[in-house]
Amino acid sequence: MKLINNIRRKFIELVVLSVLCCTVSTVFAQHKTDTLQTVHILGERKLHKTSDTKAEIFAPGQKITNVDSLTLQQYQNQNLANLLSQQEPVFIKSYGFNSLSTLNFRGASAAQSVVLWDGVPIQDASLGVADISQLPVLLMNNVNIVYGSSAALWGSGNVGGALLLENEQPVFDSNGRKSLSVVGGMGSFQQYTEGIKTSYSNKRIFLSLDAFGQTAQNNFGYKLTVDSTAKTLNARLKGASIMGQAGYLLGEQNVLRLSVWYQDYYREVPPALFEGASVKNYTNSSIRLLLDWNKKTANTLWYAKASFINDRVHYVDSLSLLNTNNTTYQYYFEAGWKRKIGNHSQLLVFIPLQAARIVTSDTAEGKQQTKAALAAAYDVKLFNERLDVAVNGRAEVINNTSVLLPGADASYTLTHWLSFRVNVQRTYRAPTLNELYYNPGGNANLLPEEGWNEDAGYTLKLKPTSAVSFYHDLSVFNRVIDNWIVWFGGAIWTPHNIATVHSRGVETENKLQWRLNSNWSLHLGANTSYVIATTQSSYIANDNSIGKQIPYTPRYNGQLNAGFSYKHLYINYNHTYTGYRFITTDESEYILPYNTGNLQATYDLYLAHCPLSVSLQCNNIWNQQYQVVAYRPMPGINWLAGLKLTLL
Amino acid sequence: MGRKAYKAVIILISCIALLSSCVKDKPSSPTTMGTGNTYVVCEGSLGNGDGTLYVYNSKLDSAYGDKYYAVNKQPLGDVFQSMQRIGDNLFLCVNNSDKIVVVDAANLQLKGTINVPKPRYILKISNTKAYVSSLFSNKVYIINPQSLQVTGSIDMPHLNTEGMLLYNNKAYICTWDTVSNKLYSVDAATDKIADSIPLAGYAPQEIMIDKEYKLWVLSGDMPEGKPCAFNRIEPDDDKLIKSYVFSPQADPVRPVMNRSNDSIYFIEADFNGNTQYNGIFRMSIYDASLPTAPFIAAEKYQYFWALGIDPATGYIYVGDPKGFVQKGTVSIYKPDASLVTQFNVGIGPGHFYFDE
Repeated sequence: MKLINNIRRKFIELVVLSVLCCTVSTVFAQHKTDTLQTVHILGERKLHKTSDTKAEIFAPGQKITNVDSLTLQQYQNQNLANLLSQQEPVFIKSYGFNSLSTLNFRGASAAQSVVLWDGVPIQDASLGVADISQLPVLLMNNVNIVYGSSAALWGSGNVGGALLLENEQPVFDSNGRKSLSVVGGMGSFQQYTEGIKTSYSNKRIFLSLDAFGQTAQNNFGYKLTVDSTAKTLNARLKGASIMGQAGYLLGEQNVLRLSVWYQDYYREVPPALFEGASVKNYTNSSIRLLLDWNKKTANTLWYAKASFINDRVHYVDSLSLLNTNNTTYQYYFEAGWKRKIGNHSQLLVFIPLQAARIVTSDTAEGKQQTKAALAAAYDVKLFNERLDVAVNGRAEVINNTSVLLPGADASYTLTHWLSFRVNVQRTYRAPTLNELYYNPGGNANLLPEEGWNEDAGYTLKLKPTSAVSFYHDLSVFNRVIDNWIVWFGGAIWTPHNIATVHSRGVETENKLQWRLNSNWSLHLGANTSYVIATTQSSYIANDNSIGKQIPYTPRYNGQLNAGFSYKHLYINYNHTYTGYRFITTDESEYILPYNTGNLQATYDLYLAHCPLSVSLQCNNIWNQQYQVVAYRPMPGINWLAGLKLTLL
Repeated sequence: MGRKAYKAVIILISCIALLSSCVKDKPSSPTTMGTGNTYVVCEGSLGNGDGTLYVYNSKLDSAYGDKYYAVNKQPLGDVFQSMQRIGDNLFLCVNNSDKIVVVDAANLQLKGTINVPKPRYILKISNTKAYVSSLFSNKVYIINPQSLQVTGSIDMPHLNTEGMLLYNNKAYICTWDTVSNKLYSVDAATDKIADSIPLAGYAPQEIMIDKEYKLWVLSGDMPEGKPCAFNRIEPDDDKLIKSYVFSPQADPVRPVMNRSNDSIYFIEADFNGNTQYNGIFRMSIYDASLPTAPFIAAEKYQYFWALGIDPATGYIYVGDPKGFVQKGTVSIYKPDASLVTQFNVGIGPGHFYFDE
């Protein structure tokens, strides 16, 4: 951490210097832009094509959304939890500002969603949950969100959806290609962020290094009662992520890549509103190694990837005499072969192997879980490629239990502006190591959660004039899961397979873009989500949860974006709405809905021929007092300013 | 009176009848509490800050809650563990909020708060002194129930001070620590440890006194591998008379004496969905061994978490927390185990307090 602190100090100096330079040279820079070709058109949203073959080819009927380049840039000083909660119709269960945040898709819990880093699952091997507040946007080059189950392609455990994260893919350039950019930010509650992205490549070698660091006091004030306020204490955050990649071109379309991702976060846990004080804190350090090889020929792709992930969590609460160490090890290997068959169809066969092991303060001998699978996917395009059909299947052995996970999906392009899709997948989630062996309370007799997921939708892309484009996407989904795992508690909390849960709903994504002239462009967008996830049956006598919404699943959730770009200035107003969240299974207790308004501005200019992007974000502009999770207050109005200087 | 006027009168009368019946349908909550109430201490779900106080009126067969919030317009806190009347006040131990909330027993108006780390139970020593046990701590805090101040503390040899009982000016204190196999007595006048009494097992948790003035201590911590036991102790010479060791699979909690103090009722709770060691059990203080069959059996995936015996009627009150994930229920049984009534309460009913 010392080294990271030193690096961070240097970057703060650089960023401050850049700010100073910027303030004195804005006019100059604006003048310069008149004579220079624009390298970056503000307001232009580029959708990255995914490098995930499964998403690109074998999931034509699955709803997959991509976070565009402009949005990634807007949030480059923030984490994925902030980005997704403001821009995607998923519920981010955040335990406070800059605190633990988990992903909840379509009424599924955090443990029922997967996060994949270049195809490798990176959830905590014990809990089956990923803290997406520890995933810096800066380190990600491509973010895709897969809605709905797709266990055949991305593995069991993927009940509600998947978050696909991708790094920069190696690009080889015989002329020698270099890139270097630095980012920095500062904001309310003594938030400081800094980062660097750099890469070098020649005709054989690709090297990149990305790093991101952040500190924050998070000492915001909040309303305690109608006429009294309090300040958040014990809320400091210190974190750093560093990712290095080395790629080597073995031959034409034949690349070997090694990625190393290390991160270390120290977090204090502020007192909940019902606590007098808190001294809780935890340190979470992870090292992730990924060795990735792929070779392409005209009709064939071979690939293999092997990863090792080590997560360590040290939790301390001296008031409760807690001092625990949990260490998990995950090994993942996948080898695959894809081949074009004729002009219109492709076959993918792959073998994923996964082993996870946990060592806790209580169980020195460790517990482990292994998954081995043989999977295949076949895609065919018919009727002039209007109809795209994929069938996929996975035979998986989890420890000693075998399961077959079939799925099929299709899309049909009726016209160039209207397409339909449909998707049916078997859903399956094996209990996590924590659910099985947590001491005390783990239940080694837990059964897997299983069921079926169906979804369908259509996409409308209209371009009535060359200046106006309209995008509308609607999805409906239906999912029934048996043996749903619920933790029952008291002195000891134990998970049980007690219920069947029926989830269904509708999601829409709408975007209107109007380019008035070469300088002005307007945009308007809205995402909505309506999710009903209710307990259908239960093994418990006199259970009052039947027909009731499961906890922490808002029925309504939506985001609105409206703004404009003028030359190099981009302004966006983002508004989010999150509906009631019940905190008990019988709907007897709930948290009130909340709205947040967030104003975002970005301005691009040049600083000594170097592109400089200045961003300013005002979050919760209406100063709403709200909680995402009960009794964990969120901050009122707050600011975050950032810079990105592209030196090379 | 014309036809239209008749119609208008009929509509008016109907509306009044409808409105008046609406008002009647609304449950009325007593604004003054008085004595003779049964309080249901609902812990809430750990971390959700939803501890609540319910009041059951047996004459009306009605339960009212959340009474603390209704009166004071603020939530009580996280893990409402126990309550105790001292004088005209009720002292509510809110464990995970590190506070004792003091309310007026007559109307539940908040009178003050005493900050004590992880308070569990309160033992009245006098009108100006009470002991407070504390989870994760080796201290027994001393409070003044009149000034609402912490006035001192007693260092115990082990952690997790828990159940307490005052007898013959000695406070007997359980230290629910897996390395503790003694019951400690404290001189209530000097607040000094007076003696220690060896037990048959580890982790003493709860303490009662029977009609023969013998102490009963429930010890053990089943999840931590310490088998549970009842220890019958002669307080006159601080000697263990008899012990009853439970099966290693049994997890007994909340022992209470009946009205005549000659029978013990207790809960055995199973969190794994089994029924064998799960339910309300009953034994005489003269029994040679522990009961093997429940007096009131719990169903699969059900376990009980609160148990009390109404000193006025001898009725048995049983709280089902329904996993602490939804509102709990309270069932009242006659001593012959026949069900009298059942009503809903807050999250996690954990204790009953009969305010005599």
